[in-house]
Order: sequence, then C-alpha cells, then structure tokens
Amino acid sequence: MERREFIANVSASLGRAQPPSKVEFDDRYGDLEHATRVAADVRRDAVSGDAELVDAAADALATGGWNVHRASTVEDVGEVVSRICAESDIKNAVRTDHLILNHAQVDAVLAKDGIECTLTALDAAMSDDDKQAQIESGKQHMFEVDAGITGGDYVIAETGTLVIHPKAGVARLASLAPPIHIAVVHRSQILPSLDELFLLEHVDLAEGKRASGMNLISGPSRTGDIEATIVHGIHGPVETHIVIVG
Amino acid sequence: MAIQTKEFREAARRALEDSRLQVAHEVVYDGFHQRRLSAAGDTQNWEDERTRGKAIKDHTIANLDYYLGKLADNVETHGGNAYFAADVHEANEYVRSVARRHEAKTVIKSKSMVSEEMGLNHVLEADGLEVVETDLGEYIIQLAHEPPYHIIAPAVHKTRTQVADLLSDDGEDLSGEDAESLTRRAREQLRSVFRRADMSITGVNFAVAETGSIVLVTNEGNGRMATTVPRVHVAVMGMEKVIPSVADLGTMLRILIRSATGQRISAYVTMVNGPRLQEDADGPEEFHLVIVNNGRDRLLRDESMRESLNCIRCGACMNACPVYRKVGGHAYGWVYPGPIGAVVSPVLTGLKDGVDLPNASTLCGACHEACPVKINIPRMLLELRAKAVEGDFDEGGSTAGAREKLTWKIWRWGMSGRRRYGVLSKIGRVALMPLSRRGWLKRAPGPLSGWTASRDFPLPTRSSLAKRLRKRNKRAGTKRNNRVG
Repeated sequence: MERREFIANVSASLGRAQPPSKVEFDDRYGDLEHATRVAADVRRDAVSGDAELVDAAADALATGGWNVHRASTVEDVGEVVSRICAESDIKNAVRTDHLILNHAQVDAVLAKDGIECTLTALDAAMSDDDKQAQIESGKQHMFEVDAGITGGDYVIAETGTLVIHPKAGVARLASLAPPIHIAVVHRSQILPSLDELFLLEHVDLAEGKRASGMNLISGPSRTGDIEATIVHGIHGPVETHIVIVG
Repeated sequence: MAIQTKEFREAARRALEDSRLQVAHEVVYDGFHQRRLSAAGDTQNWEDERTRGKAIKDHTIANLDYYLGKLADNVETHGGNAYFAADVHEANEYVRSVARRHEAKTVIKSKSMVSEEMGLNHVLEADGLEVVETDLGEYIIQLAHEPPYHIIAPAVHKTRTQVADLLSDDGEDLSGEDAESLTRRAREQLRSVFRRADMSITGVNFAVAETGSIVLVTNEGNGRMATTVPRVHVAVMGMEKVIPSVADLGTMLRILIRSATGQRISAYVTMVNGPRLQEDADGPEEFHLVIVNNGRDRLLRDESMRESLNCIRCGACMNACPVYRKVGGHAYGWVYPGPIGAVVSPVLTGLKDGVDLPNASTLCGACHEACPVKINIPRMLLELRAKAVEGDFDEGGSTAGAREKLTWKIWRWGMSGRRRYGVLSKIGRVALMPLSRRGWLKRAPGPLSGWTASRDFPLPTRSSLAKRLRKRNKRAGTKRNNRVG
C-alpha cells in the first residue's frame, strides 16, 4: 500500500485529516541541548570509576551468569585472558579490534600459549565482492573457533550487561558464534543503569554518531523451552567471561 | 493463521480434560507469575515505571500517524526500506518479493507474532523456500506443525519425551535424554541452518521513530543470529509497536522483560539501526521494515478499544488469568490468547465468531493489575460483551437470539422497580418451589438451565432484604431510615 494512503487511514481513525506537523511530549531529558548536558555529566561520572559502582556492576554481572575477573592494569590483561583460555581448554580464538586488547598484545600472549587468535577486520582497500567473500569466510571461521575475545563500549551496573556496537573491526559474530565469549572492559566504562545508556545513545544518534546497531549482552545464551528447564548455550555462547580492568 | 475463535468452548473443554496439560499449566504459568511479582517487588519505582510506560504508549498511539511517518522517514534516511501493508496479503507479497529478488533459499525466523497472523511460513514454503523457526520453542512447534501455545513460551505444553521424538531425525530413540542434551542437539541442528541462511525474518519489540531503529529482545540469541548472519534482514511489526525516542527504551525494556519472564534483563537486547555500514566487519546488507495494519485501525478508531494498542506483548495478563491458566493457549483460537487476546482477537477477526472470548472471563481484574502499561482489560471485555449483544460492531450483527433479548428485556423491567422486583421474586419462588430441595435447585428449567448445568441456583427467599431490615430495625427500636441501596 502507498505510505501516504496508509498514514491517511491512521489519521482518519484518529479523527483527523492529516498527521500533526509537530507533537509535544514530556521528554525525559527535555530538548537535545539539555540532554547533551546531562549526557556530559553521565560520561564524567563514569570516568571517575566509582568503586561502589564497580562492585555493584561486578555483582550484577555475576548474578547474570558472567564469570567476573579483575585485572589491575592493562598490562595484566594478557595474563588474565591467557589463564581463562587455559582453564577452558581453548585452542583457537577470534578477537575484535579494541584499544585494550591491542595495547595488551593479547594475540602475542596467546600465541606463546600456542593459541591462534585472528582479528575480525576487513581490509578497507578491498573491492565489494572481495569484502563479501571475506565476510562469508570469516563467518564460517567464527562458527568453528573455541572462543571470541572482544572489548566493549559500556557495562550496565543495574542489569549486568555488556554493550557492544558493531563497527569496523568488531564483528557481531565474535561475541555470538563461538561457545566461549571473553570480554574485556575498563572500569571507566560502567554506567549505573539502562537509562544512562539510552540517554547517551539518544544524544549520539542525534549528533550523527551512528553505528549500524547495538548489542546488549547479559551473560550466556539461555532457553527454558523444554519443560521450563533453564539451559545455557542454545544459540549463543555457553560460557561467558568478563575482565574488568582498573 | 486460520481463525478458530468459534471453537473456544470445545477447545477449552479438551484442555480442561487433559490432566497432564493442567499440571503443566499450573507449574509454568504460576512460575512466570511468581517471578514477575518478585521482579516487580525488586524494582525501584516499579509503579512509576508503569505509569511512565503507559504515558509513552498513550501518547504514541494518540499520535500514531505522526510517529509512523517519522519512523519510515528515518528508516529510509539510513539505508533501510520501510513498507506499509494494509493487510496480511500485502505484507506476505512484499516479503515474497524480497525473497524472490535475492533468490533466497533458506529463511531463518526469529519469533514474530505478526508473522503468525500472516501465515508467512506457509506462503514462503509454497514458493519452495526452506523456512526455519529459530526460537527453540517455535522450532519445536514447527516440527510438530502446531501454532504457538504461549507468546513467551510457545512449546510449554510439550513434554520432554514429545520434544525428543520431534528432534530425532532418523528414528533414533532420544527419549532418555534430558533437557540439556536435547537443547545441545537442537543447537547443532540450528547451527547448520544459520550457516547457510541467506535471509532472515524477525519480529519487532519496539521501533523507535526518532532514529528508525528496531529493538529485539531474546534470551537464546536467535534474534542476534538473524540480524547478523544472512545478507537480507526483514523485520515485520504491527503498527502499534512504535515509540518516540531511544531515551524511552530504559523504561520500556524494564517493564517488558520483568513482566514477561521476571528477569532483570534478557540475555540479549539487539538494536538495529539499519543495514551494515560499509566498513562493518559483518551484518546484513539490506534491511526492510514491514509495518502491518491488518485490522488494527478498528481498535484505533473506537476510543473505547484504543487502549488495547498499548499492549507490548509481555504475556503477564495471561499468566495472571485464572481462565487462561486452566484452558491454555490454543483454546483462544487465534494468534493472541489470554485476556488481551480476548480483547484484540474478536476485533481483528470478527466479533460474531469470537464472542465466547470476552465472555470467558470472571472479570476478576488480575490482568489489569498485572499489565505493565496498565491496560484496563476487564473494561474492554465488558465493552465487547455489550457490543456483541447490541450488534453495532461488525457486519455480523447481534450475537444474541430473540429469546435471549426478550429474557433480558423482562429481566431489566423486573429489576428496575422495587415493587416489580418483589412481586416477581414471589412468583419465582412459588414457580420454582416444586423443583427445589432445601432452598436450592439442582436442575432448573428454561434459561436457568445453563446456570444449573455447573452449579446450584438458590430459591428466592421468603422475605426480601428490605422487609427483613424493616423488621430488624423495628425490633431494635431504631428510627433510622431503613431504605436500602
């Protein structure tokens, strides 16, 4: 159906000739200018890395099924990840492009343990056809490796949630297809609740900082569809680890 | 999906006689219900969140034309395609055309109630496509060739042994396997499907007008697979699913998820802002959003029913409903069961056939109390009962026969005057006396026989309440005005 006709019918059902040109609603954060100011406060609070908030987040993550690990500095991350890989008998992995993972030289550390770890990134100079072929082969690869190692953009203390925006170098499948997911985040990325997350997202999207999506991950994949018994790992990972740095 | 709302009584009776089903109902629905109650109790400002959720939905529905336009604009600005479908036929044709253009072979589906309205699987299968439901519950009932039983737990009525039979592909006996190993088996079966899928169809939990985004809530991760693996992603939504702003999502997700399963959050919440960007490492190249009316404008047009479009499909009203908890999900005969289904199904599919649905309620109010957006379902059930009798709702006309109308006419006349009422109850007492024992009737004649089929009817008393009060006050010597009522 023509869009105009469809919407005209909705207007008629609401008893008017056409949609209003503007509607008023009590927006939680007022206009964009105000929302931007509140968002700046939220970001500043996060950077301070409040110890109570970090503990609350760690508790919520553990409740939601994450195995929570701490690393005091970025330099320690390699060691923590290497230990997790050894305990879970991981032979090979993929990893996403992320500041902490790059800086901690996770690939090199794991290589020493004999674990092959490949980066999920496309070569920007490739033609579209080649890109499609690489996405396809990367996809099949990610269904076969033991673990996906990723960074993250935020952690939500209220719900024990890791937030990842898919982007260049950050394949969505890395945190989904392998049976084990290991995530590494910094304490300054922790937000108190979903409201802060969606405020920041609201402001970023309005300002044109737009990823193609956002994934909220709260522990392992789970189902209760057979006789209401909770089982982990129906489609996504069976086992999830998160390393909080700092 | 075939409309079987007319079969309610028969289907309900079958469910009531199935003792295994009755046990499953009690365990599962009460489990959901209790978890919802404790989640609500653990949430700070739960009542404020409900109030906020209702305000968001009230506002959006009252300006649905505005927000749908904005949603479609923003989907298209960011590289997606928005298509408006007046009915299921148009929606199906659009999805078929996308599949044909891409020469799709394998379509993966992540739970969508609207696609059940559309009967989409059959349409695509008729075109020779392999269509696979990927929510484990939906996968199980697809293997069993059945419609979903519950909107959150579609296969809740299947036992482990039944599931084992359905998952066994070459007659292998899996009856000894527990839920965990059966789930592993399903994981392997579905993984091979994910790896070859070239198109996905998902539902939509919320669509955000200001950004052209859609949000999916899943626990299994199939929503993530569907928005990651295939080259083409088609999302279908009922037109009421839109909300104004991303900033509203905190509240909406909180009330949806806590009401649905009692979790603080589902394992996955996936937001899609459009097709993958040029530099993205993976993700679908094409994104289509199909916005479906299919009779929802009838709910919108009628101000007494409009509130039903606030529904966010959490299932809390079902788990709370004493009738649903007995008769189960299939009895309601269409996509949406339970209290909210008893409101929307008759309007979307015809009140004449669906008249038993609004009547299958004790009006106890549990659904209203459970609803995260405070939909007054009992009020609308009453509204529909009245509409059914008055016959002013759809072309079907009144559902009441001449005798029923006459009975109620006499009843109304008799009830609206004190003297008339007194005289009629005296006549009733005398007439029914020979059939009664100790003041009760086990089997009454005529219109009362329906009542006595399942319970006794009291014989009208010798003296009216007004009379007894007069007597009592006289005895006590009070001069109080003893008018009653």
